Amino acid sequence: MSTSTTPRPSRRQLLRTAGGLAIGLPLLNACTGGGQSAQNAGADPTDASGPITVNWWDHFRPLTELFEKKLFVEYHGKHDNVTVKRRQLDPADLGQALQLARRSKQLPDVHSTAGLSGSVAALVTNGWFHPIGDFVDLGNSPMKDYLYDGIHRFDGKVYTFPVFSGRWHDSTTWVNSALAKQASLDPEQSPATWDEYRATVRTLDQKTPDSVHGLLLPMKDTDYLGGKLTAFAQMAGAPGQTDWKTGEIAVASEPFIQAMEFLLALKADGVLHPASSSLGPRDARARWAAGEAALFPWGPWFIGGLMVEESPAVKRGISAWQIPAPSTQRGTVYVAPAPGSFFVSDQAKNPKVAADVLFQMTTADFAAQLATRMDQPPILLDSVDKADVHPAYKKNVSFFQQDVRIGPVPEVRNGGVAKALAEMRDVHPSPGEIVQAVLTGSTKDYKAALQQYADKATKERKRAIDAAKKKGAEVSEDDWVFGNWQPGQDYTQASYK
Amino acid sequence: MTVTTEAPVRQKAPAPAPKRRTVWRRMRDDWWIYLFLLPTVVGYGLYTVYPLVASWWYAFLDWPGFADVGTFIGFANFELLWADDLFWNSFRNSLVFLAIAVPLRVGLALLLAIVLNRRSTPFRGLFRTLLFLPVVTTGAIVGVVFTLILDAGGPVNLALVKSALVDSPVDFLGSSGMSLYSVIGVWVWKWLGITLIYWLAALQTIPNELYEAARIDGAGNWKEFRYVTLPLLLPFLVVITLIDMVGALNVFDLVMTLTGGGPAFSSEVVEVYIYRTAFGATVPQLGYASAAAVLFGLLTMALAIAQALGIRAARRAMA
Amino acid sequence: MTATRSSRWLIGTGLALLCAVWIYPFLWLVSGSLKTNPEIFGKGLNLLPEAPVWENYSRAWSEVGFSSYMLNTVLITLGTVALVIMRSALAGYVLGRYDFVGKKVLIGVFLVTFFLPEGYTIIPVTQLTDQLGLLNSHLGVVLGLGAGGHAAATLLYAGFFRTIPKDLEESARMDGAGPLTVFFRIMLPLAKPITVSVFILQFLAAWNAYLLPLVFTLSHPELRTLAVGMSAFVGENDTDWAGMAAAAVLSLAPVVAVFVVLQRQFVESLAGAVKQ
Repeated sequence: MSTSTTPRPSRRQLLRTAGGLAIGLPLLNACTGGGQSAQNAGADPTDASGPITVNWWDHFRPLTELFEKKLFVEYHGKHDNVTVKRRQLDPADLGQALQLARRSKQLPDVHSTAGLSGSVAALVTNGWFHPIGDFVDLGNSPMKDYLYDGIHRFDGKVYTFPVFSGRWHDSTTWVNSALAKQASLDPEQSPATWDEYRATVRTLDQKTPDSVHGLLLPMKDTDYLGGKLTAFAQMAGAPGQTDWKTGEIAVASEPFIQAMEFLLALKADGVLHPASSSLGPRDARARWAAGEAALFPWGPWFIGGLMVEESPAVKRGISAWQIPAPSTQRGTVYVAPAPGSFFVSDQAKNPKVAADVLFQMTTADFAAQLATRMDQPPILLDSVDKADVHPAYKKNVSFFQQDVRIGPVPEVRNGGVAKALAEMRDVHPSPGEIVQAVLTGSTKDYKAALQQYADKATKERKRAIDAAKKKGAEVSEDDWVFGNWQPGQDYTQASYK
Repeated sequence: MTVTTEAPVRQKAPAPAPKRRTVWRRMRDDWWIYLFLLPTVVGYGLYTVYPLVASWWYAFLDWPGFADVGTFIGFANFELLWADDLFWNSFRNSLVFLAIAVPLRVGLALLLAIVLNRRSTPFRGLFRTLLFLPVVTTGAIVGVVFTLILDAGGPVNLALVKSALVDSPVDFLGSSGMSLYSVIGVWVWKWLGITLIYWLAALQTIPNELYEAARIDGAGNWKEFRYVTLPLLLPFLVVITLIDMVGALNVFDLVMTLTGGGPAFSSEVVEVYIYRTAFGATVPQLGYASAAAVLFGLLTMALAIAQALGIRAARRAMA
Repeated sequence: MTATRSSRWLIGTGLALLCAVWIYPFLWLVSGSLKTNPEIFGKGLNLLPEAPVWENYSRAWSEVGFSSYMLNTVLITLGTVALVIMRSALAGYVLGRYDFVGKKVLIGVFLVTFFLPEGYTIIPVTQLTDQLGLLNSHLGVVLGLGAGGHAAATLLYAGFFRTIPKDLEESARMDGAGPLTVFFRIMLPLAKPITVSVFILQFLAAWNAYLLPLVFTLSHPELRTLAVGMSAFVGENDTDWAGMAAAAVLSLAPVVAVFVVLQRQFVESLAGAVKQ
């Protein structure tokens, strides 16, 4: 349940929540046998004689070349007995594969956690990972300012570090510049308000050939739709699915209703690509690339993905529009601090070597390389300015600097929250599922549906808190209240104290 | 083959054994029978019975998927399940799927089989092969191809709109009213070929003389079908329906690639529901998913028994 | 005469139309495999590519490890089919012809588990295979696919063997042949129509199997079967529709060829099987 913990559900369901481990640790130790494999601890990775293969699974398709042609090759150059074997999987498949692999002890040494959608804390509690802090010194790396308790550090042990910046959302509108020019519009000019946005989409729809539609809004993936709803609601003034001032679940509040009405208005305008309802975001990107629609809202990785799969669409001309707000009074998109991207599995045969390969990703040099791939922006955001990247990519990152702020995360302040999260069951239909139902016409009364979700989610949170308390966790509903949270400001490490 | 078909049917077990053998004695004398059964008993025990028992046990556990083990919670999973609207939604979808897809597949295949069984039909082998093609196509390919050709701008909709059968494109996979039926359509398309072959095989068991006799009596096509073919095919109908029903309960990969169960759960069948709870949830619930599987199994079994009793009662009433 | 002739052509035309619609997805697939990606949805109903893009095939061939997938699939499929035939025939033989302690229980278990879909049991089966140390091996997949289930095949054999006259067996026994010799020399050859039917049905089932081979070969992609490999290809290149279409055509061609050659025998032996 992302709603109760993070300001908004994140892309690729990656490490949505995290939690401290005061209570989880005994369990962790029981499961992992102490979490250490003695023969590797303390040894230099290069000491190990004989060939070592590090198996590696992730879902970052645009980074294939960076990993396989550069990072791994360079590492092999330095340690010629170490080979990294990588598999790239679809996010959803990755989650399933990881769960099954864990049960059958087939986990790779290093993996990302896309598709597991759950809390990293729950995975840590259940002994999935090997702490990497023992092997590599992150405290002296450029990462040191980005490590949070309950997200990267559990009970004093560092398990992961962020590779990508957390400051992003996936509702930037990507524009086919050629079509915008055809409709006599300036592709670089973002329509600022919802009304202007609607008017511009209508113009694009009408002043282009009949086979070209205004906007692609893929409706197959409910996480995608939930992301749109929350981001637009936040632009209308909502703090997120949780109101940090009161700790209440706010999905039925006025801004969410307005956001839903905006999405419905786009549909009613008749400007949506007719196949929208049966497409997922990746399909939608290909259709956008084929020139079937002028606009498609998605995340910062859009150009990076196009470069790999449909590079002519980038050469044709592409621009980014800032996320619109209901009026010139703009809201703010709140996100959680950047989560960890890669973990060393507890089943890793050479955790030290695996951690050492990961450590190569902490340098400024790597961040600069990463920026050029135009996937999610690197955690060291300055590198984007210096990097040779598409102007639209740069522009979008600057939009993020204006629009996106880091929000509070309950489990950073109190590790007990993670225990409650692990007890929580999903509530359906979720906001994303409600958007899907409303847009595809099976639900009319979205106010009631959103209210029902808010009620059910509140009840479920209570139940989970009680269940966690029974198991000895110290957690209460007050953990979701952040009195010192200031709208429009970053909630920094210092704010937790 | 000819030898066996004409042979008298014997059902009695081996030579008249001395009566009142003790169980132990009988088992010792029949040692070789158990040797013959060994591969089946071991394989079936390990790979079918044990997993079945295990999933029953899981149904009574609170087992968040990331943990290695679960804790016993009695019937709590079943209580939650009973109150879960989405479980009943998926159950209803599965029933609709069974009730429409199976008769469609069995009936359509029979119709085609009768036509293809006639000697006068040209190019029988070719047609048979073409209709069989989808059966050997893997589910992933079928899913992707149909998502594209059923798309609002895809060839099917273009043809429909151009021929003025519809005004605006039909949203086959993306509207909650259509999605389940579209999946049914694709499923029938994929598997019809194999049912067709069953029916063709069944039809070949009807001796030609019977048809000739019917012809001489002046029976037309319909009468011939009604009074000669149909009665002889009835026993096959039961078997073929049963086999197709088993298939209809295994639609997982097709639904996942076509609609993912959506939109708004409109095509979510029980298997997808189970998958979603077991693998797709924020914190996967293995115990809960197993409970759903067990409850679904019990409900289907209850329905099957009710149906069997109903048929028996109907037969009695007819007789 | 003219009436029957015209009706004959009417039926032929009707069937031809139906089949054209039926195989349209395949025509689409073949045409898609020779188009560029934007052309796939740009051209609507037109099946002919502007200029055939043969490069799709070389890309598909190199990205999907076809030769090894094909080999894996053939090995696993044949292994599974052999296993199912062997154990079903043996069990069917004694179930069909003899009375023994525990027969009713056995049949009861078959009936109860008849409807069991594999998705429900994948986790315990995986754990079991892991404990046997057979994950990531061809043997593990073969056992997973063939060792359990398939009650229908056993019952088919049982039904057949029940109809065979006693005399054959008895005379062989008189000559001093043991039960195994009788079974392999006399009974199994007699059951050829059943064997062919079971072969083909199991072949199709194993060929299409997806979930189990996927799970069992997770960490060794080189052991993947075609169904799993295709799906991985679709997952990893999900917007490379032209490449996917080419890969699909490549994976389909051999099976289609086999079926075209064998289909007459298939129908006839199936007919022979059900006649019993």
